[in-house]
Amino acid sequence: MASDQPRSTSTGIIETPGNRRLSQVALLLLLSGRTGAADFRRRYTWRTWILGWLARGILEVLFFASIGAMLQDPQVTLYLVIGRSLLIGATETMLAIQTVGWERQDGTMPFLLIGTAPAWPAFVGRALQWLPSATATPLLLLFVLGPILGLRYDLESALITAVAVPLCALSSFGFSMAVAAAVIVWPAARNLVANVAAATIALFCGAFVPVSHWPEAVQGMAQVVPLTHIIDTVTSALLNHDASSAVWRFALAFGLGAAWLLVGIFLLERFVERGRRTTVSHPDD
Amino acid sequence: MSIDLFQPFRVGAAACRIQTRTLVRTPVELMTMALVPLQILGILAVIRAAGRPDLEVVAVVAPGLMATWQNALYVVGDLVTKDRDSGRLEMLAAARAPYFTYLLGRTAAVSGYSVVVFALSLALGGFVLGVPVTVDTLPLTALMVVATATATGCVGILLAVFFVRTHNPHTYQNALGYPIFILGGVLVPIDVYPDWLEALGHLVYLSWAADLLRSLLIGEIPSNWWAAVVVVLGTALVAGGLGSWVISRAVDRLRVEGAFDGI
Repeated sequence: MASDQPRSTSTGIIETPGNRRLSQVALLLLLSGRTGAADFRRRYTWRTWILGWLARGILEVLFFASIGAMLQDPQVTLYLVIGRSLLIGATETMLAIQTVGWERQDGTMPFLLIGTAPAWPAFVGRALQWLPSATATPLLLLFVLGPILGLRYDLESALITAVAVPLCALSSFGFSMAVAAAVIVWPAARNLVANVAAATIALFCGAFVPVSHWPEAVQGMAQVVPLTHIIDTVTSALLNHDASSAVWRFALAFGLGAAWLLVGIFLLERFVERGRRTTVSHPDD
Repeated sequence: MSIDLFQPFRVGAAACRIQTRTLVRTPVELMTMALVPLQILGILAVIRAAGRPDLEVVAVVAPGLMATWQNALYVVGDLVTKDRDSGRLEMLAAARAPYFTYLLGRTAAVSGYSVVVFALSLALGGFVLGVPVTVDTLPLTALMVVATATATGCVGILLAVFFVRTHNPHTYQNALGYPIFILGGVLVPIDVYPDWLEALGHLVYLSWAADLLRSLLIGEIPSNWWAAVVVVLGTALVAGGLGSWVISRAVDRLRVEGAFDGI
């Protein structure tokens, strides 16, 4: 077919099927990202984000940190402040699980199925809407609320925290997309899965106690979740002044997030292919 | 026309059955049941890592009370909005049975579910995880759990009538969790707080319930236990009475004007 042949474009770039597909994916990500941004603006105004979401985050951190006050152990308080703040960012990306389902609710799924382009950028792009808030919220909690509750930063630990928070959101987003893609066939359980997944991660990935508290098998499983490495690195840097493994733990978290995102993309495309083959938009309904 | 004195009870019982079936058949409505074991393990891990077995009872009371509040906030709080959005509200308002009786029946099922979740929390903590709790005070503990679930359900009805007026109830539902958990002292006794916050906490019935439940479960019956029972049952009566009054007014307006505007 003529469209499969390389051709020169007006910009002088030789267009091949490969880079045509790449630009198609980039365009789809951009357009669905704009849809996501519109979703987010509809959900929150600045006022409701601050009073509804950020204030909730502050109270959530205070609630769990109060265990430290009851135990009269400032180290426990600070550990819970760090763990919970990072967890809030990670769990906000879990809203991707609900977002992926919106294509069904909105009735736009059939259009994604009949298109010739890959459908995963539409899902991923729209779910990206949670990233700015999932980054801003923990940053404010750790750098504004944290010092009020006793967190002390030096240059190194501040830098590690500043890198850790966006990395936490990004890598957790990859993990969340994999969970979202896995449950897309089970729409009635989306909220349940999102909440249970978030609570399980909170429990075993270091938001309550260091991962070393749990049995070895659980510790092993926790290693595949990016958040585990982020919390461990930030608590080591801030509470033990140990940043020796920060670079490779961050690289590991990033790699895990990317791997989970690829798993999510694979599952989403498989779901879409099944939908196309069976010519229904809800292959498993 | 004869007056059927038992009609409100039949309506309430039918509504209770409907809600029970809805709870059992909808996985998301059973969310709190799934979250309780994870929360117990998390809180218990912190307390055990700190070597404070005397405080372990906190880990079984907190998830049970949190589930009770969340059930009222998210399940009872959504009842009126769901009735309106699905077009049931007009038919229910036109019926001879009071809408409040129907709401009370559905709320009773949710409160019953909260009691089951609390019992599960106690059983899991006490029998499986070895948290030192006693059954010596079981009758008073059971009374307090049922009273707390009932009061919270009644508060949930009031919230439902408020939420139906809002553009996006989920924003309010998300925002109303942790302030009540903190003021209600569900995790940490309010006497740990600064004085001003402790004073505010005393105004929230959950703090009375939480304090008494923690004492009862370690085998202590405080001399002023009756005060907590009075506060919790009083809250149930006031919230229930207020809910009944507000809903009957709103339904009367719906019958006349064709629009439901909640509180």
